[in-house]
Amino acid sequence: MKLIASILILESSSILYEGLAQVLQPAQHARKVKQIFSFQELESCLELHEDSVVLINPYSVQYNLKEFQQLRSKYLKVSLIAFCHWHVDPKIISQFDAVITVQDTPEMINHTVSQVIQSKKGDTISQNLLLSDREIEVLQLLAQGFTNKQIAYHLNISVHTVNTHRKNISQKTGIKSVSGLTIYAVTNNYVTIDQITLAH
Amino acid sequence: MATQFFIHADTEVAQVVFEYPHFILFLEHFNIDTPLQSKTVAEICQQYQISEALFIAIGNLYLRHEVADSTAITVDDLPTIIHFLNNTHRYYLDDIYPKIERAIQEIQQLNDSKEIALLERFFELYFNEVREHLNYELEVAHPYIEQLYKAASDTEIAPNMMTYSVSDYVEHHDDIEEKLDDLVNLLVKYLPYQKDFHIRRSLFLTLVELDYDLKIHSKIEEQILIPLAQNVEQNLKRKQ
Repeated sequence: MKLIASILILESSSILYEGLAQVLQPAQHARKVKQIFSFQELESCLELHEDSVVLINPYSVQYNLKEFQQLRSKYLKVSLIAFCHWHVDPKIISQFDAVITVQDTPEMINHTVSQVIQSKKGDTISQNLLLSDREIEVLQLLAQGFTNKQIAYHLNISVHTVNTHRKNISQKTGIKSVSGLTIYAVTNNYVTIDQITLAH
Repeated sequence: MATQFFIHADTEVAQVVFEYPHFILFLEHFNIDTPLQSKTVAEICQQYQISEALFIAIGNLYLRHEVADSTAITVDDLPTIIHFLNNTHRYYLDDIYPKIERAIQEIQQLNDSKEIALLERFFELYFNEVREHLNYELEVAHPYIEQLYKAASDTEIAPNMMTYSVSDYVEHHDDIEEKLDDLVNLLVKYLPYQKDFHIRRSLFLTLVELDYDLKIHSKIEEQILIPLAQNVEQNLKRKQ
């Protein structure tokens, strides 16, 4: 999984910051976790690393709405998560990408953060989702019922490389099984219907 | 914003259903088939002779909690767990998979694209795999565990633990979920529409329901059933 540059936590309470930093398994998501105290500081951090997730106490947004919205429009790659410990105006909440509350379990918090990171990656979908020429070749052979070993032989690459291509194909398409990928290949005209087998 | 919610002995069961509609599946798998009125978990458990610890552990999985608190579940819950899982299997085999099958056939009548024809074939093969897997559990794995339980409570002799063991069950745990994900992906992201929009909506929602139950089903097996059965098995082996 891809790591982002940093998780920034705009939260003035050190207890809450420390708790959150403990619960988050930073190594899973980012190269560092940092507490920050103001919007100015946040902006200077984002100048350095736009590729960040920011957890903000929505109360601080309530009184800095303009700065918050400017930040949003200026740094498109940044994900913003509200970190709520009390009831907050839903209108404010709706401006965030996700919400974490103090009642959430560690699993939920980590799940939310990784989902936000994953979905941001989708910003470059059209580029990422296109299969490379090599991946298309692998897919075509797969759809025709070739095994990994046969594909490796056919394309003169190692079985390990075939596996890597397959992993990438599945990641890009969201489809894992060979029969599912076969239907995908037909849908995209990579193979014709009479070339394929649907046995696995 | 969904609040994090846990079931306790004094939780009102009907309220859980209102908050988490899929919880109705859980009640069905436990054969809880009388009006809930304002009964609490403790009251329902007493009425249906289910241990509270088990009800709460599985119930919380149905509320999308990742890990079941299985500390208070005992060997004596094994028959109920098996019964619950067998009911789940019946729901898969007799209810929801046939429903998906019918929906795909209906789609095929409205959408004559080659992709949908392939999808039908894909599902047919997949359904066969599912049947094979579930029948294996019904006919081999679950009876074995039931026999372990009976042997542990001295009502029957121990099964042959040389030829089969709970660890075989773990290995046989193949991935029904993966192809279900593929099915959802193909339907939502790739397969062309013709006049089949409304059936695809209903199919999609059915798949979501199945996916929900299936994921929890695996968790029950992995987190509750298998560790418990392995315990019984080891104790019996030690006695022999």
